[in-house]
Formats: sequence, C-alpha cells, structure tokens
Amino acid sequence: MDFHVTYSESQQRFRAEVAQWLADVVPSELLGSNEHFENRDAYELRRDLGRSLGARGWLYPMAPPEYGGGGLDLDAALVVAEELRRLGLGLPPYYDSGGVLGSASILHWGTDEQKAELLPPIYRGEQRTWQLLTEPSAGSDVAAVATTAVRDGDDYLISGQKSFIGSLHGADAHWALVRTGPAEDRHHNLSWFMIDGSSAGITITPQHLLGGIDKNTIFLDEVRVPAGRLVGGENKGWQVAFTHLDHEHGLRSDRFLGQELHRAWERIVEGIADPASGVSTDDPVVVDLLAKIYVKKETVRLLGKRNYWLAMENRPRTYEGPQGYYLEKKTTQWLASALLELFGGAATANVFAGDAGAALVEQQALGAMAMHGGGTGEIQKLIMSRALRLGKPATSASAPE
Amino acid sequence: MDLSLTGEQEQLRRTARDFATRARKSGAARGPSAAALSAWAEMAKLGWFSLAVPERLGGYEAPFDLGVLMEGLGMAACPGPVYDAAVLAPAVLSSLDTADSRELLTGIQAGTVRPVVLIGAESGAASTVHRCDVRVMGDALAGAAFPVRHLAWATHVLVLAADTTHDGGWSLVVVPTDVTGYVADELEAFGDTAHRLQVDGVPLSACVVIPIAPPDLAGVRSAVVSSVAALCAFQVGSCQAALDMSVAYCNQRMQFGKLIGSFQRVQDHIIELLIALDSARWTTYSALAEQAAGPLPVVEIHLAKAVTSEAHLAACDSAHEVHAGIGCDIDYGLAPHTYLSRDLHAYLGSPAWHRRELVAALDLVGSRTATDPTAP
Repeated sequence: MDFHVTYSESQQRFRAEVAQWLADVVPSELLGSNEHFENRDAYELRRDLGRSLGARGWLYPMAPPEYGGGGLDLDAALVVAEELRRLGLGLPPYYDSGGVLGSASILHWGTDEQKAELLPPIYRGEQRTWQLLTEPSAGSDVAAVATTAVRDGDDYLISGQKSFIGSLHGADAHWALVRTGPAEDRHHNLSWFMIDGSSAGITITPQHLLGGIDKNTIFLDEVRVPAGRLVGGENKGWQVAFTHLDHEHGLRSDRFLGQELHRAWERIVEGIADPASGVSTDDPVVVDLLAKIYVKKETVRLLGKRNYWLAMENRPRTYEGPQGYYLEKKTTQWLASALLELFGGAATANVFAGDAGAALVEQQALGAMAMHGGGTGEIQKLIMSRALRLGKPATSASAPE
Repeated sequence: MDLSLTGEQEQLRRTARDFATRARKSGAARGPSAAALSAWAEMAKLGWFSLAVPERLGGYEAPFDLGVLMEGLGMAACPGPVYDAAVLAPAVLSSLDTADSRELLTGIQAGTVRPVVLIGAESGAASTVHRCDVRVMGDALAGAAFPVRHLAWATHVLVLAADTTHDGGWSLVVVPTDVTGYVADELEAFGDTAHRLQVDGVPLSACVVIPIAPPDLAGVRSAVVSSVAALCAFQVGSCQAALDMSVAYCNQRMQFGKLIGSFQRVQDHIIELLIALDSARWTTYSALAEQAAGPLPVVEIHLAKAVTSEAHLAACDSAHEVHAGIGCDIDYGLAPHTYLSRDLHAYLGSPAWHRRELVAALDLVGSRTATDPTAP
C-alpha cells in the first residue's frame, strides 16, 4: 500500500512550470484573501485568473480538450490543484460549484451538440454558474421541487423560486432542476435545464446568512429557455441530478487534498503563535485540543484520499462518498466548538495581530452552517444505509471490508 | 499511489482470521490448553513470529504484512499473547541486539518461548500495564506489575525494570515463569483473565538480565512506538468483526414486524460504527504504509493509536446498541471484542497519551510537551 503520488521527472518539471506560471499570474491581492468577504474588484481578479487558467486547460485539467479542458491525467491534475493550494486558492479559484458539478452532468448526459455548446465556456472560465436546486419547500427532499417548466413552441417557460443560491457578485449562467411532469410521478417528473443568466424574468434578491455570508433567492417568472438547453431528456432530470450529487459526495479533488480543514489548521497554528491570542502551548488542555483538531482533520483527509482513489481507479463504491462528506461536515461543525474552547472570546471577534484572525472567526459561521450543504447529514446517512442494504433480508447483505 | 492490499495480503488476512476463529472455538480463550499450544506451534511454523524480526536477525521485517496479519487475527479476537510474540517482544529484543536477546528471539520465532512484555510509564515508553514498578535490588528482583493479561500462557515475562546498578538506569529482565518468588494472583477483571504479578525475591541468577546503556533507552522507546501500528491493526480487525456482526444481525432480527435494520435509529448506530471502523482503518494503514516505506513515522503512529483506541470503543458500543440483549450473551460472539476494546484502550498508551506525543512530534511553535523522563 502506498499513500503517495509518485511523480516522474517530467511531472516534476510540470510542477515547476505550474508553480512559475502561477507566481507570474496570481495577483498579490488574492494571497491569503477570503473570498466570502471580498469586494467586486477582488472578485474580478479571481475571474481573470480563472480565464487565464482556462486558456491553458488548467481550470478543468482532466476535462476533455475538445471542449476546452486540459486532458491531463490524475497525477498532473493534482499537481495543478496542489500548487494552487500552496497559494491558498482552490480550483476554480472562486466559488463555482455550479460549473464543477454542472459540467460533470453535461459531460455524462448531454448530446454532442450540447457538450460543444455548453462545456467550453465553463472549462475556459468564461462563465460562472450557479446551481438552482433548493426551494423553500424542497430542501432535503429535493425531488419535491415545485418550480415548473412548461413547453411553449421551441422553448420552455420556467417559473418558480429557488433559495440559498450562489454567493456574491452574480453569475453568468444557472442550471436548475425543475418539474415537467405530474406530482404523482415522483422522480420521473423532473428535468434539468441550463439557463442563460441574462434571460428576462430572472430576479435575484440577496439572502443574508450567519457570519455575513451572502446567498440569494432567485425568482423565475416565465423565463424562456430553448428546448436545446434541456439536458438528459424530459422527465429524466433525477438521473442527471444523481451524477452531480454523487460527484459532490466524494469525487472532488479538494476532498482528496483535505483542503478546507487543512487551511483552517494552518490558521490555527498561526493563531496560537500570535501573542494577541493569549493561548499558551504549555497548557495541557491546549495541547490536547490541538491534537484533537489535528487528528480529526487528518482522519477526514485520509477518507477523502480513499474516496478519490476509489473513484479514479473506477473501483466499486457503496457508502464511501457520503461517509467522507458526512464526516467532513461533522468535523467542520465540531471545529467551531473546539476553537471556542481554544481561543475563547478571540474565536468570535478578530483580535489577532496577524492575518489568521478573519479566517478563524469565519470558522464559527462555517461550523454553524456545516451540516446542511449538499443535503443534510440525515440525507448522507440515508444514502449510506441504502448502500449498505440495511433492513434488507440477510441473504443479499454483505458488509464492506 | 495504490491503496489496495495485494492478493497475498488479502490471503494472509483471511488465513489469520480463520486461524483465530478456530483457536477461539477450541476453547483457547479460557487458557493455554493442549489444543491451544499446538495452534501456537502452527503460528510459529507459518512464520508469523518472524514478521517483526529484522532480516539481519533472521526475520522477514515486513511491517505492513505484520499489520495485515494482526488485522486478520483481530477479526476473531485471537486468544493468547500473540501480539507480544509477533510484534512487541521481537521489536524490543531486536533493538537491544545482544547474544541473550538473539537467543530469545530465536525461541520466540520457533514458538518455544511465549513472552509477555511488561513496560511501565516511568520508562518513558508507551506502557503495557497500569503499574510496573519492578526493580533490581542487589541479586534479586523486587516489585509488582498489574494488571497483566495472558500470564497463564507465558513461558517468560520480559520486564523493563529500574536498575541502579549501572548508568543506564534500566534493564530488560527476562523472568521464567517457574522461578521461586514469582507470584501471580488473579484479579477480579472485566474480560480475559488478569493477574497481579509479584516478583519480590526472584533471584537474578534465574533470569536473563540485559542492561540498557543510556543511549539504548531511546532505541527501546522507538521499538515500542514502532510496534503500535500493528496493535492498531489488531483493533481494526476487531472493529470489522463488530460491524459484520451488526449488519448481519440487523438484517435478520425482526421487531414490530420489521427487520430492525429498516429503522433509521438503528441505521444510525451502524453508520457510527462504520465511521469508527474506517477512521481506525485508514489512519492505521497510513501509519503502516509509511513505516514500511521509510523512517519511523512517529506522527502517523500516534495519530493511528489516538484514533483507533477511541474507535474500537465506539465500534463496540454501537454494536451493543444494535444487538441489545443478545450482544451481552457471552456465547454470542460480540463479548470478546467488547473485552478487547477495553483491554487495549490504554495498552501502549491511552488516546490522551498519544495526542500529547503527537503534538510534541508535530513540533508546533513553542510546544514542549514530550515525555522525557531523562530530562532533569
């Protein structure tokens, strides 16, 4: 068993090339900056960086080159992700889960024409995409969405309301799961559309969340969408959604790298060294808390690594994706309480002299909101239970090893 | 990167599991019967007591395979001091490497020496017993150690004893279990038999004394640390057994007219069990793989034990919640794992001990937390 990616000489050269290129291209304003609280100028710098990465095929390094992806193998793609992580940046370097998840679904379910039309703007960083899933009455039960699409000649007219959408500074496109069939045909009454962000009938109102994090409510009022933007076929939307839900629950390289929790750990180490923190590492309680934080973030990282390896090797997977995701969420939730214990009042207001404070304070918001992203923790447990065939007769059950 | 076991490793794990299952069925859990001792000889013949021994001393030196073996044995809570014989005693003896230690190693590999290792916290190494204050007094030993498991199996007790007759301050004393002055009193215990061992007046002339020179004590401590991941693997096997039993049970047990596995509150227990198992498994595999690849991965090893001892406890607790009453029936099969999860919780260091050592090994700014009994 070997936990390390072994890099050949040519891959080492590639790493040096990526590192040098990033050193030249990444603006200093983005180093150590926190996307959630950035102004429009910083956001535009992130988008510029995304377009530069896209032009080289590095924004979606493993995506097919014929649609604008990089066509790189896993090891090379990890090099790009790791070098960006070294600078505190993700891939894409801005919030774009709609692009990451939507492109995976389009690649799997789209026609050749749809792939040629819809994928290049995503892969090249020309477009930021929001995902329109959740509605006021459809959260965990996302198959119960009430937003409808009605056929009108060569188009569909989409009407409804989506909530907890996106972030700051808008998006160029959206994809949405909407209802096209009768309510009683559960799971067979949904369709998946790509929607141009500039379409008439879209109203966006900001939704303010804990910790100053911004989401949006989107109202769709007879938004006209060409039938060619229906991906996967009418009433086949649940299958399309399954592709990106599976992706979200286990395949992402940021999970492989244990990115989010590792960055938090780095801030914590920085934070305790900050004289303003008032934390003493001679205190055995502090030492034990630090150890617990390290232990939990490493456990999440190792399960993420397992999941990524399983996926990339196309090995059989059952419960592993939602398990890793669930544990990451629980750990993020727990981390907020650990920071309260570690830093006391300094966990909730930035009193630090150095740069770590803002990110440490933000962990309170991330912790309080950790459990519902990508479906509540209960949904992940439900998917795991089904994968384990719990409650099915013993003859067909087999426990994983 | 390759996170799979090889075909040979999977075979080794199965063989070990089947072997331990037979050993347990033969009644070996109650003590070293004739059948149990012949099983012990078979393990030696299979080479299982040579996996931790360095090649230069005639062993296979295969840390990852050793972990795989221990995982398989843990799946059936293999009775007897197999961990002492396959992992800990070879590691400690190899680190000392004297004529006496080599002779003992040969006996362990041949299956004729069945060792139990006693290390106390005062030595600075991870401890195997709650208290071990055995010391060299003139030409005899004095003191006691407790609680000691598997003592009925042992031909020899290897005790790290305080010894002020030389500069090092410590000696490894090998005590045959049939000498005068050796007194083992059975303690009331949860789980396998446990003893209080008294060695007052055991003559040194009846023992092998290996003095540990000051620089070698660090080597002994490292040898103990190097043995921890294989212990974790034994616990991983035990967690896997708890999961297998729980999944099978919830898919056959009917209550309220339904399989209990269809109740979400029962499913929650299985999920907690599976998270505990996988956390233990992947931190342990990571430590074993690093150990097989290069220098002693101290951080990964402390991480693995800090996670695995807690996971083992959690896994068995969850299994009991799934099984309810029947899980507590001593003949059902869960009990040996419940016992192990308690016996091994602080064996070779509690989770808190390993967390402290972990932070010391990470060498964070300003932290000075390592246990160093040699420091003034």
